[in-house]
Amino acid sequence: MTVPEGVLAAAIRGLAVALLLAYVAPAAARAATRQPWHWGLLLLPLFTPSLLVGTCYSGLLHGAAGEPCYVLLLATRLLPIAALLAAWLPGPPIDRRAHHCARMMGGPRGTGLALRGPVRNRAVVGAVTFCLAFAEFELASLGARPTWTVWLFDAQTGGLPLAETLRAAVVPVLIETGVLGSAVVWLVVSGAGPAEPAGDPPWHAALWSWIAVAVAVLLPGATLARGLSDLRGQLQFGTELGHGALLAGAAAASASGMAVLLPRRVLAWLSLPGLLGGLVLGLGIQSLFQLPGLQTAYDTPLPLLVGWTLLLLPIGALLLGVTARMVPAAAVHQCALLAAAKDATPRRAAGRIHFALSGIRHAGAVGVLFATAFFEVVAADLLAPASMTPAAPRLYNLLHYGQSAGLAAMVLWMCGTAVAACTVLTAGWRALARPPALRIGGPLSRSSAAP
Amino acid sequence: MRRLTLLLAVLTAAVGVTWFAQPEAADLTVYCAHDAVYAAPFLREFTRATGITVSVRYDTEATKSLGLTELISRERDRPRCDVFWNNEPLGTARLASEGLLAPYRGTGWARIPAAFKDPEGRWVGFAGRLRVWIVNRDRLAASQAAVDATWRQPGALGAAFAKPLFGTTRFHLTALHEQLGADRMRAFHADLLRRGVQVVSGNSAVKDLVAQGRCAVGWTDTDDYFAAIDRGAPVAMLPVTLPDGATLCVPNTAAIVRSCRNRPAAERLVDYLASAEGELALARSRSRQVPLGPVDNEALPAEVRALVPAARRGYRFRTLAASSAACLQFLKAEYVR
Repeated sequence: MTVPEGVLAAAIRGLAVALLLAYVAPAAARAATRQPWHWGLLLLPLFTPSLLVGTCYSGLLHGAAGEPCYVLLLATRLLPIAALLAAWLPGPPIDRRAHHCARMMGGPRGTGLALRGPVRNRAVVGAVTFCLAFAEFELASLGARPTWTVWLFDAQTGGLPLAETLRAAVVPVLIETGVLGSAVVWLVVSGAGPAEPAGDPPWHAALWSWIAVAVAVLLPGATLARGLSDLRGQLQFGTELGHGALLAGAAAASASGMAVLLPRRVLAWLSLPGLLGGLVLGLGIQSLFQLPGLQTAYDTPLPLLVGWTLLLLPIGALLLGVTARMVPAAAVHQCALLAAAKDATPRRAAGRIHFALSGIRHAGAVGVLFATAFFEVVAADLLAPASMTPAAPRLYNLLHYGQSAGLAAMVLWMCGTAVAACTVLTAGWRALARPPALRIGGPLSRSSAAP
Repeated sequence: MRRLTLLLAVLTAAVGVTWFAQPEAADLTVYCAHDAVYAAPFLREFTRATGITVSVRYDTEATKSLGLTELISRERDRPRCDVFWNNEPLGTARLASEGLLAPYRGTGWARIPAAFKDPEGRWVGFAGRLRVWIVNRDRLAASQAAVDATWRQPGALGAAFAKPLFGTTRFHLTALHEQLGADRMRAFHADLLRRGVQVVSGNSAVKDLVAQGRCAVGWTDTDDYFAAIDRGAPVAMLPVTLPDGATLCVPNTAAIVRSCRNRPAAERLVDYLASAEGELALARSRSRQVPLGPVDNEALPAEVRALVPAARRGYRFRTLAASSAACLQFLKAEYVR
């Protein structure tokens, strides 16, 4: 395999995943919006380590049906992020009814109209999932699928200068930047319309979540049943779980803070290193911390925190940016009015309503970032200090022998920790929920999403 | 935003507290490529016996090409590692040729046969694994004739080996490269691919494919074979032999890194690793490593005792570092164009 062949294979595969998810994710999101418990189901693949999925389907990935199997696995694992995006994106400037009317009346037609209409959000979901599938490494490596990330990894055997590694990554990063940049620019330029009315989801809407859960969670998870007997035996894994959760939490909070605080232009530049992926970014940061001046911080948690923060920044900026844009300003304003009441009861109610309007989405976005870092392996392996190994690299360490009950128990602990951490995060966020302050000419007049 | 700031502050403080509250630095930092599940109890026992504390960084299956050998090489300006416990000799020999390892001819080095150690004492081999054919007994007779025939023409039966850029498969092809020469090796490799022998991600993937019956035969190591046996898979094994009849025994290696901060402690660990007790402990572990030096044969598990004669016939490299570099150049041209 050459780099261009790897890039081409990843691009074709990414396109297939993007087309599939652009169709499926909005439907799955609608089903989940109608029945909130469905979100729990839909998000489950986020909490399943790729190690478990890759090992479960290793035989299929290596077989004749390897490519379709890999595309299906990518799609099922990316469905949660795609569905969150589909649910959180503000409505397009030309909604479904306006689009239909424009066509009926013989108005302008073509791609431009469609891209400002119902297709706009599907295109954004497709662009994001294309980039995530395009840069995937762990499943591709476990299944020996041809892709540029695996090429870069293989090329490190026997040593490869960082400059050459970066040179090989230029074209893929340009592709990612182009696709993601176009989507973000179009999202901003095309503006926002009213939220689409939540009609009945199509008959197949819930089906996709169940398929994703069956493929990416239940089948691989079935191999973990034997681990239930050894949960107590693996309590010593708690140290690595703790390290992983702390470091991933700090990186997620740091990336979220940067995504919220930094000016757009700075954020765009700082998001570029994250598009390189864990391997190239990890090697770069490792070299950086070998330079005089930074050397003293080399064997500390700092390189990994920096690495994970940069790695999370592109997806964090997107998720939090979308979240901020979709908060209904009129409702927030009414919430602020409610909070101005003298009575404590309506003030508390205002806090709860504000959490439901925006807090849950912020907490969800931070939770997605946390899970992404918590299960990340390559940058963690390269950058973690020897005495503070996070859980994911430690788990991969045991992959070799397929440690039956022991490994299964560790995977169960890891998934449980990720779910527990996200639950605590959401509960804490809710407990600290405060209503917005009432400002004349404040959120209502600034928001483009106001009805 | 206030909540986010609070969260960041709390978590950063927690990371800081966890980091600074750690016990004082260990006496030794060990980079260990042997699987943590077996190495950890072994090193704990070393600490218990000697009082020398050890901080260990393990290798991961997922980051093979970025493994500990590469890390030691990249960290040459700011080394962290004192002792390198590698699970194969090619990377260790490369570090030795780069001048990153310190010579030490201790009691462990003295008891290991010459085929498995560096004459200058920069590394010593111990407790090896054999390269073997793993055969699915339900699909193929476990005989050399049947294996050879299937390997020549896999067809629907299927045959597999791991991507040879890493680990013991690279060791295997390096031995072939040295014995056959560059041209015959190139032809041999091209022929394997032409006949439809599958290249998969690692030895454990080969083991899984054969254990599941998706392939009838493959190249792997004895530790993977025993992992399949422990899970009740219908598999058998035959040692791989080279054209000259030698087997392929891949030793673990122990080496002291040149910038080692605690030389006496490092020497004790290297002697401990290459001692008879160390080899026996690894032979009794689930990975069933084969002792290379003299041990009490009666103390060995029967399945390991059966492998000792084959290990004694292990291929002896003429020029390990040079052959490794030449073969890697060929393999990178084949797999990473």
